[in-house]
Amino acid sequence: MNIKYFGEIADVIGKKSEDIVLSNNTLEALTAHLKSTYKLSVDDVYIAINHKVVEASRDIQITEKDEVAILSPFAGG
Amino acid sequence: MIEDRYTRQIALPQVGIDGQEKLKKARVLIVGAGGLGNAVLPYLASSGIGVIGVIDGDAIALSNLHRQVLFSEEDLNLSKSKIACDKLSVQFPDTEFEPYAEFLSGQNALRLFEKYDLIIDATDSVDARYLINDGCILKQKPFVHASIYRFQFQVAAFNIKGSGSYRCLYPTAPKNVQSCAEAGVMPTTVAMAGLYQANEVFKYFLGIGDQLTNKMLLIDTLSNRQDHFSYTSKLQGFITPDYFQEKYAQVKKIQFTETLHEGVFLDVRNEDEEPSSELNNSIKVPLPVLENDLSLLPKDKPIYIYCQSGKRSIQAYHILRKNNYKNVYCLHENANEINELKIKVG
Repeated sequence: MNIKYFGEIADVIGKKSEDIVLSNNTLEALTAHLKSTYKLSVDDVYIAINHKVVEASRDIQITEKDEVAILSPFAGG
Repeated sequence: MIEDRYTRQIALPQVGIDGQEKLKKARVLIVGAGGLGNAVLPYLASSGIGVIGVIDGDAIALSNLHRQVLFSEEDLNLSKSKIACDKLSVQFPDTEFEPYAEFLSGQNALRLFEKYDLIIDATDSVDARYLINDGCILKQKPFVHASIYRFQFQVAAFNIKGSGSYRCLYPTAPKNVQSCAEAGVMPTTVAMAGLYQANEVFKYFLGIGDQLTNKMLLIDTLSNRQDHFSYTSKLQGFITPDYFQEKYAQVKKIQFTETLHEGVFLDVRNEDEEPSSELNNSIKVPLPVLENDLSLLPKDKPIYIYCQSGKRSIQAYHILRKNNYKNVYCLHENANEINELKIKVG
């Protein structure tokens, strides 16, 4: 599946998007991947699936065609 | 006269004379006169918004000037809110400007929000955004948010006709987020974000178009990519006046067992409230008369305030701080608990 990273997260991990393969296509597997690969905690990021922000704790299936975005609040102004 | 200055916007069928009157009646508070504030302010004023309040406790610095275009070198070290209002009131005399040269805090937020129809979040800190959000929920005020990270910005309108709030989009603040000062920013990015905010404000007062409610617009100015992210609106029932006081009022608290012998205990309950205090060094001054009866309280000793539940102590705390009492604390314990501890520890 394709994941897009926005804001500070993209700079921290050094990429704006990537295609990944998960052992199973669930939100839980995705958050585990973010944590193990980039040390991103679900407390620090928000996940949107098909442009809808979802609760990281929910049991959600993700398909290969879904657009996944990793977001966080911006501070600047 | 009104038609002459605003004739080009009045010509729009979505505005007209009626719309112009709506803008004239509008009262808007802008929190922050930095990059976003400098972008949003001139356009709100030029369109004929009736009253604009500007709160910012910051002074103008040289590193601000590239994006805060209302300011020049002769303004360095002067108040951002005051200079912005001074300059804009010359250029846009139809608008009444109300500068507040202080930072938004738990002490002033609710009082200020009450005076305005809409709040603009033009701050540069995530913590301030939660303060604005929670204050707007309590005072039932709409607010328009924007925030920047390098070449990207987010814009959203919250709390409009039952729509979601910032906490629906981002329930909790992340631990580490970089501000413009840390991450860097181009003036055009922050200006675009401010103009999107101004545009949301116009739509709100004119009742036209689609507002950015229950969704956030994220724009990447390098790629010109735009994304909308929707979120679920949820009632934030935990945001109560008590929660707000506790979280933002910045009251210094102390445990009874940590108090010093030379300190004075201040009981702000009414005369007839039970239990009466077992403390030898406790003075009773009921909250309603406290401000007129400060002569009993020394300024050179710590003062430990308590009451029946803790609510009146917080109010008393702010009264004493306002009257230049520097060594003031609210006790964690209430009158009952203090008596029990007094008996226990002697």
